[in-house]
Amino acid sequence: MKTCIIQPRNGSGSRKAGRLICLAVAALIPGGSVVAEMRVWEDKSGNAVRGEYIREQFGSLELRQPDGSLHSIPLAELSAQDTDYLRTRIPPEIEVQVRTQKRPKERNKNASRARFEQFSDEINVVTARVEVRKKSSAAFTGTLRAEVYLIGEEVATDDYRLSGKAAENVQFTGDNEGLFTFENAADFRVYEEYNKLQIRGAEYAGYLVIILDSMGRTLAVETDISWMTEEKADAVRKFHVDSFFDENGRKRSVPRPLYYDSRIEF
Amino acid sequence: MNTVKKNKKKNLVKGTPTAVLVSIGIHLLVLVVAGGFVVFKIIDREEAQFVPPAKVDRPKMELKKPRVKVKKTSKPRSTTRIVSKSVASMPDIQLPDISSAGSGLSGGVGGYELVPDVEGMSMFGGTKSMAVGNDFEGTFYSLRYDRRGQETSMDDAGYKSTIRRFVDLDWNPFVFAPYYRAPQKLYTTQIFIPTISSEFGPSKFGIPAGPEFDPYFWCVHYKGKIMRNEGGRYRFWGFGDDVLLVRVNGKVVLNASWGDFRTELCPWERHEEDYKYFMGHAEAAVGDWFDLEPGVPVEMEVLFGEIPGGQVCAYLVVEDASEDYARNRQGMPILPVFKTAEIPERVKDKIRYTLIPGEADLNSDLMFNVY
Repeated sequence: MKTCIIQPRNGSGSRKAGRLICLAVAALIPGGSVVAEMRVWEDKSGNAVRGEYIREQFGSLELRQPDGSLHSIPLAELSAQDTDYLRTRIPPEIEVQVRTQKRPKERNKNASRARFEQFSDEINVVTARVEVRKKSSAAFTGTLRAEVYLIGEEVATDDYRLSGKAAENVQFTGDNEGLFTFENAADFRVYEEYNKLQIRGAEYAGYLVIILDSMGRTLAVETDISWMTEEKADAVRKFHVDSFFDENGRKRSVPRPLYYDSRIEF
Repeated sequence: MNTVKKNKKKNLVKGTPTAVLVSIGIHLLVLVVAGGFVVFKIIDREEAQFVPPAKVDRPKMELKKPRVKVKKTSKPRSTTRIVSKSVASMPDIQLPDISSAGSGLSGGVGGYELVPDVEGMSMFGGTKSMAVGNDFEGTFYSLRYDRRGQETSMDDAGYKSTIRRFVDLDWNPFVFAPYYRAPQKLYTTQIFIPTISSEFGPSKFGIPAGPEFDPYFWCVHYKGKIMRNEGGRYRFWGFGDDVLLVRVNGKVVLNASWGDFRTELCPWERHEEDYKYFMGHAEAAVGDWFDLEPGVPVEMEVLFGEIPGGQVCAYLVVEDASEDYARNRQGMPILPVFKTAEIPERVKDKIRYTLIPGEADLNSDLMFNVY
């Protein structure tokens, strides 16, 4: 039987075989700022003021009232309920950093006992290490959500393929000193199809990381994929693993193996 | 006083043996009479009950010669598969820790899945029942390892004889008891696994694909129930690399195992339509017709396995005798994938990726759900 070791394609920096560690130069997609909601804030004396959160500064909470004027409440005077709201619902400023590592998958050299078939594929494992750092000094005891998507490019069609996705609850605690880290990995396999006519599979194309607040509002979108926008990121979020899509974020049909007529006959 | 006492004592001593003797004598007499009566009575009864057996006219047993069906052997036209007879000696291994079975890639690191379980559904099934009552429960066995995870001396012949014993013993999983069984069971409502690499089979059952687990000499036993409200006559078509056996209501109705192994695993007569059409990387086998009573659930089992490693598949489609089917470019009817519930779209996508168009119908209404 013919043995075929897939050679990685040229043309992409991420396609160099072997171990590769990459600190991604990511594009932080704008539009992730959260619009604070207009609400009623109370101090401990029961004085109420309607306004939207602007920032915390010098021990005070600054609000913008409906008429545009600014109002300040010392944090020490803020009611317990609103202090809780402030600490759990108003997300802090964050910084996101993503490092990716690509390495060949460790395989079982005896994958075929009879050894009639050597690997006719190449599998790389790409691990994305995501760091979410709280930049503001104000305490935040709430939970954010971090989603990471690992995207491949189908060699047979040039469509994109969602190869891995995962989500984590992000919390900043004394233990992690305001730096939350997690990893996700996905296999990227390029192989010779059983029809012996096609090289198929996905090569790693890039990552997409989205940070959301407890209301599901996007705080940050981090990616190294040039064509990605926030709208396309929203589309990618809806896909399940192994979905195919194009650069416009539109779902594509699954590529099929080609028919062939030289199969094994009994 | 002393004299009197002595006399009294003397009289007593003298009188006691007489009374005892008399008593013994009476008892002996009674015993002899009663004992003799009982003994003779019992003997009488036994004698009365004894009936010598009548001479039985036993016809001489005729030794039946086992009926051996002579198979019409058909010489394979050609095959590109090379099966080595030498068993590679492998180093001792420890089975990988599978405590994180089923987490899959979507689980992240210590995280949660975006869509629990559904995201992790594979063509082999999901880790949790998705359609209670209509699921087939799949159990993974590796005959390459014993139940403690130590390598066995399994070879082709041993694997085939084990499968044969399983079939002969009424599909009793006890046959696999000495071997490794994955703790993770999978639940599926369709059985249709197009050609994939055999190293990806065990991983679906929570055994990470890697250097520590040899992905051959394994099998999966699926068990469930099927029903058709309107009843009907059906037969399976399929192709298994290397083992694909289907049993309905206790009877093997399809043996679509790899050509060379087929009759070694289970007695089977070749059908006229066998091996006429391509399915996956080889040719499809055709099963026996079977009837389903309207609304009566029956048990169905599927055994699917891999012998030497390499490519693996379990194509299973079903033909309704009352239906006409569109045909593909080879002339093969495009038959519905066997299922007991609608196939989740994401699983359809996984199947489509390696299924040549026209070799099975993923969207048919034909379902064998009990509930």
